[in-house]
Amino acid sequence: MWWEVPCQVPAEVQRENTRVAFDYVPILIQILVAFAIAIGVIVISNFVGSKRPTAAKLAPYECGMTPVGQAWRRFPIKFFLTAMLFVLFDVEVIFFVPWTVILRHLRVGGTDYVLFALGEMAVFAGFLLLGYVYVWKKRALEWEA
Amino acid sequence: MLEQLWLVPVFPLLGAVANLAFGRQIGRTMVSLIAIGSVALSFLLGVNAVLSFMSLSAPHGFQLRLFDWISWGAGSNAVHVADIGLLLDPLSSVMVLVVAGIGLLIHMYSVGYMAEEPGYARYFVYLNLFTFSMLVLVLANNFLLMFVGWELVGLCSYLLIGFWFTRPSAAAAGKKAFITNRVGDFGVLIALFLIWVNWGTFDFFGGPGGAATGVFDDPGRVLATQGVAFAIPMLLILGVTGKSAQIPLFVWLPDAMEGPTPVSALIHAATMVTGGVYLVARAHLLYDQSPDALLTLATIGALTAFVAATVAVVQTDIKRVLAYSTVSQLGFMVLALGSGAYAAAVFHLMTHAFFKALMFLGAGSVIHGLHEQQDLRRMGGLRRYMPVTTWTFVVGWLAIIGAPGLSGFFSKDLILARTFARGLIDPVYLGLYGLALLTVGITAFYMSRMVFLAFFGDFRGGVDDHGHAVIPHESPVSMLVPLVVLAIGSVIAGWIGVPSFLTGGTSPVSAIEVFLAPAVAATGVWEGTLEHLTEIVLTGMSVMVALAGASLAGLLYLSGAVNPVALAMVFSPFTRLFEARWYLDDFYRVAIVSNVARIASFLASFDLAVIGGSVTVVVRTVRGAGSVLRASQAGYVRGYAVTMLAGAFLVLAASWAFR
Amino acid sequence: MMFVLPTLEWWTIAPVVILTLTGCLVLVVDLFRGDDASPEPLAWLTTGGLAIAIGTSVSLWGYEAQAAFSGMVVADNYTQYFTVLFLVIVGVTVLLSFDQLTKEDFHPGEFYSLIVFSAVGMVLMASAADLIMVFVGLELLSICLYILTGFSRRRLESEEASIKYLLLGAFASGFLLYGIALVYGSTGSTNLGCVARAINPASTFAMFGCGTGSVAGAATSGLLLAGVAMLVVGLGFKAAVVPFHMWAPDVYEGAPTAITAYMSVGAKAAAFAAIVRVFMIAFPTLSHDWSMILAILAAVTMIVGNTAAVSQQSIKRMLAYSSIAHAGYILVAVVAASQVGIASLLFYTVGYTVMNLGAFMVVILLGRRSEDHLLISDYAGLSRRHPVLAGLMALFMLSLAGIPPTVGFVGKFYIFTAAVQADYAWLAVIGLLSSVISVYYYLRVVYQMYMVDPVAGVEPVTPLRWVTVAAGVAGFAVVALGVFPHGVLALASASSTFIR
Repeated sequence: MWWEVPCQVPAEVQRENTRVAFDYVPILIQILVAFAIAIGVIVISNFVGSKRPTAAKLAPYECGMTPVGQAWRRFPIKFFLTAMLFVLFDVEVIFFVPWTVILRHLRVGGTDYVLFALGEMAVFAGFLLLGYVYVWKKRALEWEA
Repeated sequence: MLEQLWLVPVFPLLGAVANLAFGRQIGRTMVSLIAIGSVALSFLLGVNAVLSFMSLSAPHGFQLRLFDWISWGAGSNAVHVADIGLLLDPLSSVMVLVVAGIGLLIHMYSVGYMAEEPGYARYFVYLNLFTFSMLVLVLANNFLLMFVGWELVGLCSYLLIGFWFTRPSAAAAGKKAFITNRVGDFGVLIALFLIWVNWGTFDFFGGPGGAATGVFDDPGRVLATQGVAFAIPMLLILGVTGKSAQIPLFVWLPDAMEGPTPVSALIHAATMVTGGVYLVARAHLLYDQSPDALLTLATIGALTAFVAATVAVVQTDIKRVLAYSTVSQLGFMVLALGSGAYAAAVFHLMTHAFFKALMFLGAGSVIHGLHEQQDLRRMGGLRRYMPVTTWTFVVGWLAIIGAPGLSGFFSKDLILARTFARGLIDPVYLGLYGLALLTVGITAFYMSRMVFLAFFGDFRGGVDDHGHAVIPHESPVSMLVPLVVLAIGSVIAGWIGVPSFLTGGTSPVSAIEVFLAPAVAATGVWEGTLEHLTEIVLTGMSVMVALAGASLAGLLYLSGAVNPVALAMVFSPFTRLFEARWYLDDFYRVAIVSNVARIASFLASFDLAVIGGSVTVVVRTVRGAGSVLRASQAGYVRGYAVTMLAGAFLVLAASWAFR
Repeated sequence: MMFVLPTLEWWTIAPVVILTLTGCLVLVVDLFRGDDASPEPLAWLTTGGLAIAIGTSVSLWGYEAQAAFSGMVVADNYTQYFTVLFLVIVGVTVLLSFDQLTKEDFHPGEFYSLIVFSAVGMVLMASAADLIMVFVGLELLSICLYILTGFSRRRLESEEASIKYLLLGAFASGFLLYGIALVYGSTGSTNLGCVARAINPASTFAMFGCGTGSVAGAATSGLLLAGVAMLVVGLGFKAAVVPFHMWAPDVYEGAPTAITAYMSVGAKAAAFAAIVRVFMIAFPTLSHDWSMILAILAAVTMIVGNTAAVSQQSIKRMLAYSSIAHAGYILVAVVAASQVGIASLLFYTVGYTVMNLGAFMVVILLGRRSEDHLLISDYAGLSRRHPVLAGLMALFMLSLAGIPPTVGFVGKFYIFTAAVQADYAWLAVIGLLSSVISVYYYLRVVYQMYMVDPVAGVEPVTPLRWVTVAAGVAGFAVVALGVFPHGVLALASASSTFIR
């Protein structure tokens, strides 16, 4: 087969490649766990949960929209507002993760920059908080407006 | 104080702007205060600057470069064209004092004269703007800025001649002045181009911040190309004949009397029309290179002086007599320039500014006192009604005819003497001297005629055109004060030009010539000097001639010993020639205006058919293309996106193609 | 794991920080004020923030160029020149929009904070030393503009314009990002200085903060060319260069007039600020490749913009096409690719801002009742109803047409001179010919104002005092810069020294 064409790869590079591949193993494990949880929850709830079906509950999406019919029509904006706010804050919060990872290593030439990094995060969180206050005051979080 | 020189022109400009913006709201008193105040400040600063300049020893004068005006490029490609900069030297010192000083007096006079007029604020806006423009013209340190001033004074002149624009004759006169001057300006413009091509700069003098060598630092540069050395002065002469009303372009000046009389005094007698004289004096180093150009200039001057004087003899309108007299006196100045006596020309410019402004303002006072009557035949005996006007006018009259001791006497005799001296080298000038001497006699005649008709004898204008009784009255004090000041000036302004041998010195030149020498001393072979005795004889001759002219006028119009009508009959071919203004206007109408009209109508049809036709074709094409493009803009996002995508592919393809 | 802390020269982004805080402050203050309260305090707050930022930027003038934040931004005279220009434009927009804002139920808090955030985007574009920063700035600007375009919620055209702009803008951003990725793939860096070094080892743009970020001369040409082409598309879209201009007329017509004015001068200037940085710093040695493409684009832009403007009936659409044509003129200066060219670009940007903003001021003054009086035929007989406004409008039209003694003439003169010096005489000729076409449609407005009798029943509007004053100032500037261009030109020259 064509991918079996032998090529001269230096031993050093081979070792490097192996190490890189090894670095990805945790991610693989994480993916497997994620899949397991998702599938597991659905399967378990299917077995364990009680079932009292209504028409609305049997519809494919339980979020106030009729799944069949014209796509060009008015629909309540609330769902999208909520979804959008969720996505926004979710994505922003993800930024915390790399920050926590490197926080311990913030040491350059013997000087400790942890306080500095904390300050930076405070600025970031401050902006986030500002957005949250804005959303709140604009009553975007109230369902029954 | 020299550093504040830039404020001299700026103040009148600020006055004009202020009155333009608020003139209609703030009332006449404020308008007058702003207008007069700005010119007064300008005058005081001007005096101060000139005094500080005189205590300075700067050969070429003091240059103040304010900022870079036109330039482009950077680094080695940089081309510096001109900056906004001022030059104060003896020549511009004299001009600044004349412009601001006389301007100030005429602003004051106008308050009384224009009191009843609508458009009061507009009038002062124009007048202030004119003062600013004229100061820019005389203070500019390069040809380009000077040309800006040159054009601006033309514009102000146009606006002020047509000040009463509802009167068709005023509007037409404004247009005539403007168009006639365009011919002259055209010459100046071409000369500027030639200067740029040959020197690569417009600066008069080099210096830090500007060109290394200015035009006048190296006036001989064009000698290698003789044609240019002759062409530039000749083209500038074209400008002089327009601005300073010389043959063949002087026809606009008499018509310009349609403007308000103070305007005639300021612009069309004392300052703007001397712009051409200033231009030649400023550029005299170029004239020194070309004897032919100088001779042309002298001939034009002498002829203009003579022709205008003869026409003045038969005028009946008091302002028109003065207008032709102005043309004639400007001819004397140009004759002096052509004789290489630049200092004499500037000196006469200055004295003339005093006595001619005086007489124009006097005439204005007369017109004011007679309810807009300008006809000499309906005046007479005014000395009983308007004593101040009369006696100040008499001073002006004595000054212009050259009564010994008054200003005109010294300046005119200086011109005659210098022309005569030049004649000893080049005999043509002796002929010009003769013509000028004859003109002195005619001048004395028509000036005396005007004075006798207007102020002496009996009052002949009992009723005006509408049948109302006219009782002449003296003008208000605000108009009389400038008259008195100018009268004093007309007497003493000449004393700085007294030849020093008369006051015990040994030098053949006068104080004013010494002062002006660094700026305008001739550099050629022209410095002809005369024996003192010769000068005295020449002076005696001119006084005799003037006396003869004045006596003849006295016989005709004062004592009545000779009937002027009968005399006119005897010389009817001449009087008819004079009354028709030597047929110059008719010549222009027949030879130029009608031919131009014919060519214009041909060009118009050509323009309509050929050029207009091709323009129509182009317009239709462009419009068609526009409609196609408009149709492509259908409003659908998908279409736009596809266009973008296609564009992107084209750019990609092109980037490979041009690789 | 090694962590290298970047040198944080905060002063380099001081205007950006001030503007960001201003935007947040406006937003917060808006939250805590009553629903019916006057928007005036917010306008003053915004203006105050802008003024402080302008002051800061002016005080940063004249320092040696300084890259900061790991070569993300650079502060030099060029940055400050554009910063001040942008912020003045934003300030004028705040003034111009006030009337419509109060009448049409705009949300003032969002309006002002969005406009300030868009200014942050513009400033970042001018100070970007890295392609990523160009992208961030451009997106910040664009997203704010998408929303601002749709601010006249009651008018369908406004919403339509907003959606169109969003869709096409996203499309263009894709090109830009793809271009950046390709350039990165080719050179190994997105820093402008590093890119330059990867292409040509001899280029030294140390001031752009490229440490050891790329390998000298390592660029591969195929990828690079494709990347540059994509960058041309992405940035050309923002500047409304043909054929990426199709959005402009619709968006300009639909947006609230003040925002149209803002986009036509601010966003365009920002796009050119970025174009100059990217093409003059990162790809100077490629100029044989891209300058011909840009030259053709400039020619097509001038021709199409001017030709299409001829048949427009709406004044806003006419000005939209006119602004496309002016993008073409400015692009000519980029093509000249010399310091003189960039100085003339900087000068023209200022001149174009003044005259175009002035024209829009008159449009706003006359179209006060919401968005009416926007046809060119509505200007019939204006000289009799509003002589001052008509005079100013005529002045702006003459200047846009490039007739002396206005700034439009001087600006075009400098640009075309630079083009001729760079051996692009044919481009200058096309520019001149197409600007002859432009005289037709500019003078059509003047013709309507002065030579056509007014339509019966059109009542004079009461001009807003401050907008009238602003229009007067703009008119004065048009003439003053036309007669005395040298002051601004000296600033422009001093701002373009980063180009060798």
